[in-house]
Amino acid sequence: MLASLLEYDFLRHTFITGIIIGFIAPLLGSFIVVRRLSMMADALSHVTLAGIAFGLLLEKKTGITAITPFYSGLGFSVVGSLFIEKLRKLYTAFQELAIPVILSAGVGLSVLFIALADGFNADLYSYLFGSVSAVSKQDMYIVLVIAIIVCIVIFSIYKELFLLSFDEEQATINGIPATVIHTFFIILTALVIAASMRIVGVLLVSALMTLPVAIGIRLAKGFKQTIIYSILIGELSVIIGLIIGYYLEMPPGGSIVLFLILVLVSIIGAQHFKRRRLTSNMKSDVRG
Amino acid sequence: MSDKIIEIEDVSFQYDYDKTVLSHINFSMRAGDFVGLVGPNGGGKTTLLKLILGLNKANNGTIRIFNTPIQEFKDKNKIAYVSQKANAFNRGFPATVEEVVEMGLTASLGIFKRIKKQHKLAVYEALKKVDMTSYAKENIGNLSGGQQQRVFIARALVSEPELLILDEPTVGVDQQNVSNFFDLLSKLNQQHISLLIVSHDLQAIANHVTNVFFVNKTIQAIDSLEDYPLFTLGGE
Repeated sequence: MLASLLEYDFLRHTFITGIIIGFIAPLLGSFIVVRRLSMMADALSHVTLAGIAFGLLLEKKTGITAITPFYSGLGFSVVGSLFIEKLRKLYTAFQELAIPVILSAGVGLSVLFIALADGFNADLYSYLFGSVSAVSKQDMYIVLVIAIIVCIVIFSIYKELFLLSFDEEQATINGIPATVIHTFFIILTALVIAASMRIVGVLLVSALMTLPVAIGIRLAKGFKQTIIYSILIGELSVIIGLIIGYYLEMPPGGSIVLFLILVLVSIIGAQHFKRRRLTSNMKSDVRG
Repeated sequence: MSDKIIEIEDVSFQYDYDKTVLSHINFSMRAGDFVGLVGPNGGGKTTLLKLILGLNKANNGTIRIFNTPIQEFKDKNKIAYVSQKANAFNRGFPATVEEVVEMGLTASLGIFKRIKKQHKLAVYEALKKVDMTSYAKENIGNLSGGQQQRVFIARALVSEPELLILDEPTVGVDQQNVSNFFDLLSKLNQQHISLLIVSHDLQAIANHVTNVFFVNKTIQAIDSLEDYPLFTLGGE
């Protein structure tokens, strides 16, 4: 595979893009999980799907190629994130209501655009589950720009975002502009979802943001360590998932997510076994 | 200049739905005081704290904090607050004790500034004040209620405030730890930190505070415990 990596540009682009999203998806995902917004990522990925379907429809019906499905997916994702924020403000007592509303709107629009286009070919399939050969040089550069923006914002407002995630009331007393930061955060999430879709696909993108964190939380002490572990696990899953995807000729979204599930189940099992052994040792100490 | 750190004159407050919560409140507190606020549920104790913290705006009257009208008061580092909900956080949240205390530096550092070595020392000092240094690397969710409350006090102390405001800090803390907790607050008061505490436990705070006020829509100083039978008091 190393030889192919050196030989084919598209494979190199895919791997570099994979490494980038293996870093930014769990980085942002750490905040998404502790803020209990995991489902929001799912809702946004479905809106992104609508954007992709819109872009494919535009391509098919008008021949316009300037707005690629990647760009339209990105645009829909960001607009969807702003709608989620608006709905959360309208329904302050039922903020989670914004998620099914936006999710169903995303699916509804996707169905509409697919119907209008009389179906799509394999293109849509690669957007749904990712592809080892779908990343262009331009896509790679856009993902790189998104990654730089995400890293600058997260590292600049890390402590504000952390406090806001842990104790919103205290953050407000400290004069932190909670609404502004939250809006920025949701837009960043939309950008990362759009950036990740070529590798893992829109249907599995939220898994790359949350599964590494689900594993990291079980291993780490503290939040910084959780982020570091999540990124390491994210990177490992992308690399292994892409290699498996390449050799088995399957979409990498599936192999990445299945690898993560396997790691999660193994760790839960190992911790359960360790706890049981510890309890039984304690019991025998008491008896002895 | 007056040494009053809080001055409230003729302040009233009502929510949008027209229920008057506080009426014509006059209250003041001097530097070095340890003041307790007691009163029944819904009597307006927490609302009064929120007015002092600037989270609610009074309908009329004036509030001065450190000799500055509250609208102009920007020096947020002078006041630290431990909320009633502080220990109602998500227990599974992956944050170490050290990370939680570092959060207390957010306002004083300002946006874009990062935690440096001297700030880590300040965190250690704050933990030392509450006897929690040995737990610095532990996840906060693994500690007992009393220990968590000490960590939140450390978070409040790390920015070296002059006034510490606590809202029902002993809820969920067992009796033995409540006593230790108030001893800790008295120790902090001796170190020249002014304290304003809301509590439903008049007996517990009576031995430690310098003044107690009874809040139930209005406010009045309590001179004698016998005038306020316990059944009229409660948490908010």
